[in-house]
Amino acid sequence: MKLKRCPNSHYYDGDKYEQCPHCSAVKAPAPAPKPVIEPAPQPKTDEPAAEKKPVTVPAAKPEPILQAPVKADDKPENIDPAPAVPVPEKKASFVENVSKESSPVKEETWRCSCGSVNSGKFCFECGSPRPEPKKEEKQDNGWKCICGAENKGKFCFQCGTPRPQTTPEKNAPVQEKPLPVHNMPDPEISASVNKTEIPVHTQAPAVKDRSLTEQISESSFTGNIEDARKKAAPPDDEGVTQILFDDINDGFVLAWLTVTNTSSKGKVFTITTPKCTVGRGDAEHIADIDLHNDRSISRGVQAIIVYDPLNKKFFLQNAEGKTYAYVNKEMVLTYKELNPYDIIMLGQTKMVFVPLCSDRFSW
Amino acid sequence: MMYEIRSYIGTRKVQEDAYGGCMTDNGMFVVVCDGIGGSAHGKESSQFTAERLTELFRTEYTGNFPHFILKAAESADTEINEKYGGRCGTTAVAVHICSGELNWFSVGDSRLYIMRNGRLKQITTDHNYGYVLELRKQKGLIDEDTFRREMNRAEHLASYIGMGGMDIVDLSLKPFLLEKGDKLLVTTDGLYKSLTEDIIYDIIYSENDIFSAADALRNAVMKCTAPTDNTTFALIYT
Repeated sequence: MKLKRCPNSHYYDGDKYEQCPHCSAVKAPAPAPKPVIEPAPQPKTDEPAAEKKPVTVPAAKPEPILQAPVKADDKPENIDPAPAVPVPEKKASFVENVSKESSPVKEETWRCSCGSVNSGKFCFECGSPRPEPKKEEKQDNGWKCICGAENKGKFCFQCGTPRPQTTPEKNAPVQEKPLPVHNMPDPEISASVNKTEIPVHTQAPAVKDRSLTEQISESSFTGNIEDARKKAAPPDDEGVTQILFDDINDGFVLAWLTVTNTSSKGKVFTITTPKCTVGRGDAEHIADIDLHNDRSISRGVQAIIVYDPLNKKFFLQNAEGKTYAYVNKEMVLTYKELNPYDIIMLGQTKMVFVPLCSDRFSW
Repeated sequence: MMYEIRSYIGTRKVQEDAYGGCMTDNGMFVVVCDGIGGSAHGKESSQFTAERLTELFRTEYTGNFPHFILKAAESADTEINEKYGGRCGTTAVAVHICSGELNWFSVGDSRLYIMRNGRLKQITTDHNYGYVLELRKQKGLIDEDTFRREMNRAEHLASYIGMGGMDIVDLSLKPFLLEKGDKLLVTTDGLYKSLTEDIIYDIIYSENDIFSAADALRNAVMKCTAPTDNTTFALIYT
C-alpha cells in the first residue's frame, strides 16, 4: 500500500487510486477515516501498524471494517493504553463523542479555539481535541472494506464483499466504548453479542480481552489447598536428578580445570558432563579429563568431578584408583565439595578449579 | 515498577487491615490483609500475617513463588490458629513481580485486579460461602432452593489464614506475563464494596500518576456516605 495525501489532506492508497477518492466522491466529502487518525498525536506509532496489519493478516481482518466508520473512537481501545501519554485517550474520545452529535462538519481541516488550523485529531498548537464529528456523514456515504477499498454501495467494488451492517445506531455503542468498556463483564459476552449483529465489529477488542482471560486462567489456580500444594511443590527427589540432568545438554560448559604445573602447564580442560572422570587414559581406559602426560598417575579413572544441578555445587569424588587425589592439599577419600579456585592435585599435576555454574548461573 | 499503598479505617472503630511490601533483588512483593474476628484479634492476625509474609519474602525467598508463599501462608495459619484458637484470622492477597512476571496468592475475599485494555479484571476469586455454594450447585450437590436460601450468607468467608488449615486458595502456578502499562490493584473488600469496579477504573484511569490515583481512590472511599469497611489497597504500576 502506498500512502498518499491529497491537497485536502486526505490519506489514500496510492496503488489503488490515481487521485484522492475522497475528493472525487460524488456526494458528501466523505471524510476518510484515515486522515482523522494518522495525524493524531498520541498513538501515532501504534496506529499505522495496527491499521495495516488487518489487511494482510486474516485473523485480524475484522478490524478494518470496524475502523472505517468508527475509527477515531475505536482507536483508544485497540491500542494498548499508552500510559506515558498524559492525555487519557478515553477523555479525548469522550469529548469527540459528545461533540460529534452536535455539529457535523464536512471539512477535513478544522480550526481550533486557539486559532490554528489542524487536520489531526488534536490541535498541534494547544493539544485540544478536534471538536468535530462528521461520523454520521461518513457512515451514510462510505465504508471501508477489509480489502482496504473505500466504497459507497452495498458491495465492495474491489472484492465484492458485502457492506457490513454499520448503521449509526449500531455504531453508537461502539463509539462510546472507550468509556464503558469495563462494563463488559466478560469478553465472551461481548463477542457473542456482536456475532449475532455485526460479527466484525468488536471482535478485535474481544480477542484481546479473551486473551487476558485466557492468560489469567492459564496461570491461575483456585481450589483446595492440598491440590495447590501438590502443584506448587518442586518436583520431588526422584524426578529431580533425571530432569535436571536432562536439562543440561552434553557439551554445555559447567566448569574448567587449568593445569598449573608440569609440562601441561596452562592447559585447560573443560568440564561438560555432570559426572566428569579424571585420570590417565590409554587403550583400555578412558577418562574425560585425561592427564596422559603425568606418569605418576595410575592408568584409569582416579577421581570424578560431580556437578549437583539441584544445589549448584561441585564435588570431587574418589574413584578408588591407585592414585591419591587432593583438594587444597587435603586428601579426598570419599568426596569433597569444590569451591572456586580450589586446587586439585592428582599425582604431580595441580589444577585450578573454576566453575561456571553456581548460585549465580546455571543451565 | 512501583507501588503505592493507602489505608483508611472507614466508619469502623478498629483498623483491622494490614499491609506489607518490599523490593529486593528477587523482585517486588506486596501483601494486603484484612483481619477478621472483630474484637478477637483480627487486627493482630492481619498485622502478623502481613509482616510475616513480607519478612519471609525478604529473607528466605529464593525462587518458586507458589511453593514459597504456600509454605509461608501455612506457617502463619498454624501460628495464628494456635495463638488465638481459631476465633480470628485474616484474608491475604500477595503479589510478587519479578522481571515482568506476576505471581499471586490469595486466601479470603481480598482481591487482585489487573487493568489492561481498558478494563479492570479481577484475577483472584473470593473464597466465601457464595463461592462454595456455586461449586456445590454446579456439582449438583445442592438444589436451587437450598442454594438461594443459603446465599444470604454468601459473604461469609470460606477460607482464611488462621482457620487452622486453609481450605481454598488462589495461586498462580505459572507466572503471568505482564505487559507494558499493566496496572495492578491489590485490595481488601472495603474498596470494592464501597466503589463499583467502573468507578475504580475511571478513577485510576483519569489520574496521571500512581500517587494521585491512589489518593483519589482513597478520597473516593472517604466520600462514601454509606458506612464503609476498613479499606486498604495497593496500586502497582508496571
